Amino acid sequence: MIQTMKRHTLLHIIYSVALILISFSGSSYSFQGKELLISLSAAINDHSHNPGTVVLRYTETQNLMGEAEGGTSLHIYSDGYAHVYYPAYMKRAGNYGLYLEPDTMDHLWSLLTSAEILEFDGNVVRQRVLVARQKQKESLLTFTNVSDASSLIIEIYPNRYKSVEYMEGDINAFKKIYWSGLRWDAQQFPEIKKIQSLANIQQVLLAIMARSDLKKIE
Amino acid sequence: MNAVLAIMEKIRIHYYSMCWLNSILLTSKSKITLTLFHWLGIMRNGFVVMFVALIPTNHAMPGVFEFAGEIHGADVVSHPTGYTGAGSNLVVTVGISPSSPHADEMMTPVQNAVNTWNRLIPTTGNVIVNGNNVPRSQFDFESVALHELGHCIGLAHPNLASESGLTGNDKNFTNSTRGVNNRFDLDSGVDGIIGSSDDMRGDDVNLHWFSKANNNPFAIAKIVDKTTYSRFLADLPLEDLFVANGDRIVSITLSVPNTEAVMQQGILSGESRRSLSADDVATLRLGMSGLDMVADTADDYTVSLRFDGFTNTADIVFNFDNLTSFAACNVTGTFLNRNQNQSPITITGGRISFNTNFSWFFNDDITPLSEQEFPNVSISANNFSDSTTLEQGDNLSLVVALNPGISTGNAADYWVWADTPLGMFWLNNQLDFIRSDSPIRVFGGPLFNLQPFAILNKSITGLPSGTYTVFFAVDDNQDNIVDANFQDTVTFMINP
Repeated sequence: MIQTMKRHTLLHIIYSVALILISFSGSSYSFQGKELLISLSAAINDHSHNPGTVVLRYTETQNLMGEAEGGTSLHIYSDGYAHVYYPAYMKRAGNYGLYLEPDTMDHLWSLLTSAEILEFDGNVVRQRVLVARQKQKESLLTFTNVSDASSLIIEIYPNRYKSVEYMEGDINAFKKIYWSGLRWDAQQFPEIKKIQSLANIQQVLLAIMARSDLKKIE
Repeated sequence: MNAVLAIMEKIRIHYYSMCWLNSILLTSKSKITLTLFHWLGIMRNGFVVMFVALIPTNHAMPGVFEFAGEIHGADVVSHPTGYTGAGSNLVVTVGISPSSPHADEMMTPVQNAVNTWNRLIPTTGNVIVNGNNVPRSQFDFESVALHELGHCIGLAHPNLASESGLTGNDKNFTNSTRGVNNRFDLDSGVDGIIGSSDDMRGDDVNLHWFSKANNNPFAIAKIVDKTTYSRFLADLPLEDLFVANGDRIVSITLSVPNTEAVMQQGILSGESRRSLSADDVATLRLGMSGLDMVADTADDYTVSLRFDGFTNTADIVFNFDNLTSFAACNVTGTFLNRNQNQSPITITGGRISFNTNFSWFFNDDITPLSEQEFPNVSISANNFSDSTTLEQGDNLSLVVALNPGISTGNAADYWVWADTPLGMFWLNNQLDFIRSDSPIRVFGGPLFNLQPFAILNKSITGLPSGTYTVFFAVDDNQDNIVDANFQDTVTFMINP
């Protein structure tokens, strides 16, 4: 219990510090709710790369787990370097890295900087999902609910790779999207384009994280 | 020694019914006697605090039903597969997909989880971090399976879990909808503890069913139905602002540490949570009170999970199919009466998915099927459960414990008394030992899980030689009359 309490306390401190830090950064966020999730694993950077050149941070946390557990993460830098982190409780636990091919990088970039993503408004999309669920309830004989879906955070720096002049080209401007239950929402609501766009990006990112040519960083 | 005995007798005569410690402090200047009663007197600072801290009032409160919320309505109650509105014994089948990875390894933990739901025994102290068999960096499959099975029979998260879209510790607030202002109002109140009864939640609409009489998710009342439970905040106890949930931090404030509702979202690697809390049991039992939500009426049902082994056709099927990134239950439901506003829902099936990329621990210890029907009380002296012999100057440690089993929350009287060379002494509600030939009750209230606790740990220097027998007993009622239905004794002899 003491161990658990310590973990809670530590988590609390980390969150508090992170919230203070983020309150000083001017950027746009897209969340389902009003809260900001600060990725614990965002702190896990590959020190061989300058954090200032990160073009994408992706974190997936498992909600059924206690908050202290953290999640898997992927950082991609402007030179195409991808850094993957798997927590200790995963079979692939550890840090990995590789350089993405230019084509892969460009394809990913086109997805990340599409209007669907840069204009993603979590509250608006959530309302669309609610409406869609309401329609399902009224029209279908059965309906589903999925417990314990994971949450993802995607943080994109649109002006650090091939700038799209997002927010007047500020190199530190970023777009942050939080979504919970993306896999299931994408499956259930193919008509919601923003969900599909986000799900496509997630698939690409997961494919990178699962690549067999990732090299373990000792 | 005769002198000591003479002093004792004098005290007994003149200070009948007074606290041992106080008696000595007031009447005797004998160093030996003072020492004798001083060691007994430490009970004041130990056992009293222990009882005040650990004894919950007769609280009960169930949790949240699957599908309750913005879409289907806050009042929606979900029932297990097969419920039609008529009283019956529902049999819900559970299987493991034959082609699933880890199929063989899932056998024992899935059966354990099935049995745990079937037993429907509320427990406390169910969060075990140290002392379980789960390696530190692995997740206990059985604990997660127990949680997901709960979803598949109609239970939702008591807390604002992932479906809320909230992040971090905010997810520990009690489950609700956003209310008119379309946002969650999250204020943890004066105590600063998220999910406790003083949370201030603005216009959020509570989804968590609770006892009208009180507000504690870690004990269960005998009757669980709408006459005793409500979802409306107006029915809360006067001092409470919102419904407390079965979070492990809240459990500390309610004096049942290391307890958490199985349906609470949030489990850590290396820990196990393999038995139900009162919250879990009460929620299912509330559903079992049927459509009218009144117990002991014709539409009541019971539910039994039946493990069918390797099959894809069971009502609930486990599979490491990687359809989820960790673990999830895809629950399908249908309205019992589509034309009814906020119609009850019957679960039509559940598919429990797991992801193979995690380090899972598969418990291969079969949980015994035998239920602990009766409370188990124990008292020991220096770790001896029967008897021991002491010499002057030895240390004596008296430890009591209680495991109420399925009787958790039932009203009871607690008694502790000692048969000594000086006569009978009873522990009163101030945790003073009182010389009395009439019984004195230490506590009247619900049965709860009392972890081993030292009521005494002190040198016996100065105690008269002889035989001492100490009793710890609980009754199966709360009438302030000694029945000692469940008791244990320990004897220690002090040599001259």
